[in-house]
Amino acid sequence: MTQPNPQPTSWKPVIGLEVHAQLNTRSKLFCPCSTSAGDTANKALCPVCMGHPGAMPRLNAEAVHLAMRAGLALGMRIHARSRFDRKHYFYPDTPKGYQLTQHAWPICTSGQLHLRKGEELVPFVVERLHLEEDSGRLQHDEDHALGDWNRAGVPLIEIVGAPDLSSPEEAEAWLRMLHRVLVAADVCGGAMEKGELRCDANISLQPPDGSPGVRVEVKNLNSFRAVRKALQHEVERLGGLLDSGEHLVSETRTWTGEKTERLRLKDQAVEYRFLPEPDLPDLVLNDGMVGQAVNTLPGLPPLDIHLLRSDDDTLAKWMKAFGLTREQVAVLTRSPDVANFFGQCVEAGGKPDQVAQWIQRDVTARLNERSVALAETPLRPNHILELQAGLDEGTITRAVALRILDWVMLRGGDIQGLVAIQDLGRIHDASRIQALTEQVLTEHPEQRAAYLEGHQERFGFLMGELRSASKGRIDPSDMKTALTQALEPKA
Amino acid sequence: MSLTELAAQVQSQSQSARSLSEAALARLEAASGLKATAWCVPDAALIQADALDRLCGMQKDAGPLAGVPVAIKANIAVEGMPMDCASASLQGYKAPATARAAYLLQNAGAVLLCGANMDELAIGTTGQHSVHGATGNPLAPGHVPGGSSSGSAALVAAGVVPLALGTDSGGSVRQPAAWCGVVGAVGTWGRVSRSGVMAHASSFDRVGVLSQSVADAALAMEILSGPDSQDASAAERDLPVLLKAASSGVEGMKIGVLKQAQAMADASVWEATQATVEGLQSQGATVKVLSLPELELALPCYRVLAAVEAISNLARIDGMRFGLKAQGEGFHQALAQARSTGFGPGVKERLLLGSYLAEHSADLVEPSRRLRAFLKLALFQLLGQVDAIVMPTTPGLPLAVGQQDGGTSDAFTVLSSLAGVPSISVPIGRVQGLPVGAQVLSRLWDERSAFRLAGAMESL
Repeated sequence: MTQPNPQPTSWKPVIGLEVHAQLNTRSKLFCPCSTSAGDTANKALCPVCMGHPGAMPRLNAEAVHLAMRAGLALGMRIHARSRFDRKHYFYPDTPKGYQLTQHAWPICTSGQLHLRKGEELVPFVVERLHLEEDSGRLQHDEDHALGDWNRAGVPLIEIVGAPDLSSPEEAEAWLRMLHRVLVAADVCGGAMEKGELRCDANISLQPPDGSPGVRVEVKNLNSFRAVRKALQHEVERLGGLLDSGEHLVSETRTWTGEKTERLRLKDQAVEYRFLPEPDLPDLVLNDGMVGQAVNTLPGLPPLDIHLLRSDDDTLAKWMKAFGLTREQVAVLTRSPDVANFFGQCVEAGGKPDQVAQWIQRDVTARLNERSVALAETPLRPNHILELQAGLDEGTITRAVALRILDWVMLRGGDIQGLVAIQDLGRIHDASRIQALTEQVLTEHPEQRAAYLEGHQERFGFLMGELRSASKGRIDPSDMKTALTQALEPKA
Repeated sequence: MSLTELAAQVQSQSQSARSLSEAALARLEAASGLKATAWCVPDAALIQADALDRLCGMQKDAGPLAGVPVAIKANIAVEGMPMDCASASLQGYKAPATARAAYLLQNAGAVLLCGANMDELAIGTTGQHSVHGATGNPLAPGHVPGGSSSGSAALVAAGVVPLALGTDSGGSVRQPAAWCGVVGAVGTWGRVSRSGVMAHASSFDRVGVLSQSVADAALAMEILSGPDSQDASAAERDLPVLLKAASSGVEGMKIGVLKQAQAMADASVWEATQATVEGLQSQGATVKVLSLPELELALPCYRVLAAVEAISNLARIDGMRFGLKAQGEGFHQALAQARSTGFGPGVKERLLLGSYLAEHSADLVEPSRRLRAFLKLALFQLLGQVDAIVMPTTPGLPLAVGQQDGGTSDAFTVLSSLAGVPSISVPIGRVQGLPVGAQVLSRLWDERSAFRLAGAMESL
């Protein structure tokens, strides 16, 4: 069957994303097993999550709370009554033979996520958000399949975006924005590499006449980049097929990292035999429970829930309120504890741009290095304020300030005490600086000679040596002056 | 002797719990031809009995069931004991924890003596489909005991134990109780926790009791009632006072009789039931004839919905983690092997039906869901006009072994199952030498009225 051959550019991508986000709960969705079993396989199991005869599910209130919070952060309708259904399929990763999910009556519907297009904020519809349980993990070798069911029963929310994204780039931006909202609302850890956030994409190419195109689902998109790359690949692949007059079939594909491959055709799809879960009463939410979710939306100091709904609103407010750049706000609102910390520093009298710089440049780097959250360190707002004060007053150098930051982020403590006990104060005394400089030059006569012969770059080496010799206690400008003077040919 | 009297004797040490259990074990041995048990570990029973005797020796309260030996249907978990649900598919599976219902009996001083045989996975109405063999009917040799709580009914009827736990989805406690000439009672759906009970059709499944007398059933139901942190559907409700109700007479009670039941029942069974109703009338109850034209739809409605839930609940039996070990190349082949060798013909038939129905859900299952909602409301309306309804437990007499009735023996019991209302089957004598029972249905959470009426029926 041959179709008319329109211009390649006339195919319009229509993309919708489905995201599974793991909720930050301590226990599983329907049993008290831990959600953080770590790397030891099959450590957090019980008769409920292993589907033993007679074991019955009990709904985790914390997961419901977080799902509501996510819904609020996305401006969704929270339904007073929702329900769980059994979705049946036989696979060893699903011990009960079905997954518990909210099929017919999800907990949240109709929200939105805003993306910036030029100067405009464009709303994208989030169709639904529902609670469901994760499945186990299987590893295959030649003869065996090994199962690890630690994740079986871990609470997830599935968020379904409307198919109103029009390019792979837009899809990536949408996912990044969703990621930020979920992490800011403290609902999901967001580590895609750990599977805390997973994405599937639906894409079709719409013909110029506006009729619906054939839909392809791409699974296994586990990074922002994978979403963009896989969708770009599909736009190209599908466009090519259409241009050559091929008849498309609805199918499910997987992203290998380089290309997509067919998993199955849609007409091979299984019938899930949805059944309302008879062992759980309808999930009925009262005003108190919804109110609690509203009240516990992380206290990003200058924010309210309306701001959380749209990331760009947040950006604008923060930029205006604190005179910060877009990039600074982006770093500060990346997680609620960082945002809180910033707020506390500013409240305690810190200058927003200085505090933002500390957090953006120095604190974040150390957190990333050690893979810890800010709240897990003993760092307190007064530490930042005192370090800044030390710099402003000239009592410490920046190099020392960073060393102290290292220390207090590991062990906490009193900064003035540290400076006094460990003798970290900035060296102002010109004769002491001169003596240290002479000592360095004496220890490195060859570098000195090379510099004097015109090798300018040796100056940097000598600065470094002087920094070590002084344990960073001389300000770089003082070092430069002293070194320049000392290197001047003697009259 | 009533359970209360038996427990009092044990408490006062005029009889030891050990001697009761030993006697029950001896009777069990003597009745082994009935094939009514699924498991029995005498030492485990005697350890429980000795502990109770020590408690009584220390003048400590050993509970309202002190020393009473009880049988537990093989689909109800008793920690460390086999829980094979009479199915080859679960052979070797031992329960990791005791079911709430069994625990409550044990906590009340009962000795969990043995597991009771049953129709495989609680699917069946004859007690003939079990890896432990076909159960006999002690009161009607050559006839089936009914099912699926066949072993529970047979053990009580044979006098091996005075009390047994059963489960009832469409009549699995009441129908065998009627055919074995004992009392079978289920409370409102949600009254007794289902945790630790292998599910068959969850929205119908109820844990019930089988006993020699209505008072014994009342005492047991009092003990079993109440919420459970492991079962979200077990309701937080005021606990019912039933034992007193069982002997408080029917003076002033209004009884409903469903006229459509007459056409569906054997004439002799209907006559026996009518005689019971007249007896209640003579004790001061008034009778009202009620009409439920859709009564004959109850059974097909139940069958559709129960089959669809059964395929879901039995999906966990895959030969991977417990029970029969699956063998074969790859998951799906192994799964097919485990399930085709593990399940008996009755279960397979139900699963095929359920799968077919589920694949045509909109045409076949949804109408049944609506019908269930309708029947529920219709029954509630009728129960609004009377205190309770009395009708035959089964339309016919106990089947002879090998005789087929196409499963219609549940036609009357499913009515209470669809609506989740309390129901008690009480023996009302014999017809053609075979035991016959009549059942009482009362309003949601009103077990009291059902026990009042049942108590009066028993004393006729």
